[in-house]
Amino acid sequence: TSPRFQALLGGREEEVGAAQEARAALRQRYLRGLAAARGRPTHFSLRAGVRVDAVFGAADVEAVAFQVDALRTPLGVEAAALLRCTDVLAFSFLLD
Amino acid sequence: RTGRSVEPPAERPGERRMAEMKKLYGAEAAKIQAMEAAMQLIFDRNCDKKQPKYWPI
Amino acid sequence: MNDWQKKSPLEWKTYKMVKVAAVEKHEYEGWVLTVDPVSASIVLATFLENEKVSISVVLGHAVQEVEILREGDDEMKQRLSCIFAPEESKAYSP
Repeated sequence: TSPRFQALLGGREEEVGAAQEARAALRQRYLRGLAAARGRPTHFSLRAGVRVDAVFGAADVEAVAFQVDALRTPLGVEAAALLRCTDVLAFSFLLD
Repeated sequence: RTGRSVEPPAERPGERRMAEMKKLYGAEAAKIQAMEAAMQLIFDRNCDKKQPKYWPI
Repeated sequence: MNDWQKKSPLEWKTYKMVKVAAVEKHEYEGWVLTVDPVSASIVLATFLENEKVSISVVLGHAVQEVEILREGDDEMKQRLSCIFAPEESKAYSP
């Protein structure tokens, strides 16, 4: 159990049930959000001011990497690639 | 690493994790675990099929 | 561990417009759709003029500060709760 887990578990005893419910809702919405990103053109902001566009492919559960397709790098297009989550600061995509 | 599939199986797969999930999510733990498993499956399948490399290297 | 990460998950049950300050002087503004309890990543929605919704995910490790700008009203709550709604509930909405 990570320190972050512990911190997020915080709260008084009687709040535990309500906190679990809220946490479950937040996690579910996050997972559905990642699912909604699949196949969409996505803009990634990486460390050191690097910005790249790709098609969102998939994310792993442990938040290690994002799999992307058609990654446009300064040196050309990679058909498929992995971006390390530690390199990524943020990413964005459009829903219609 | 490109996904879980390359790792040796953890001891007692699932059990410890389910206990942690229950603590975090209560009654919704099983549902969330199923969603996570589905997401991981897609990731692993994509990695197997496309053999993506890390960028930047 | 930043202060904002100590927030109870209950605080995000109501929809809030926030400004997120991230590392390397990045800033993001939008309505919080969710804060992932595992990675602490923040998912923001902004409504564009062409009726599209822009989704931004700021990774937990990059977040430095979260400033709450305002609370959403009922209409905003309605709009936001439809985004990433589970399939079963989507089936009932037009």
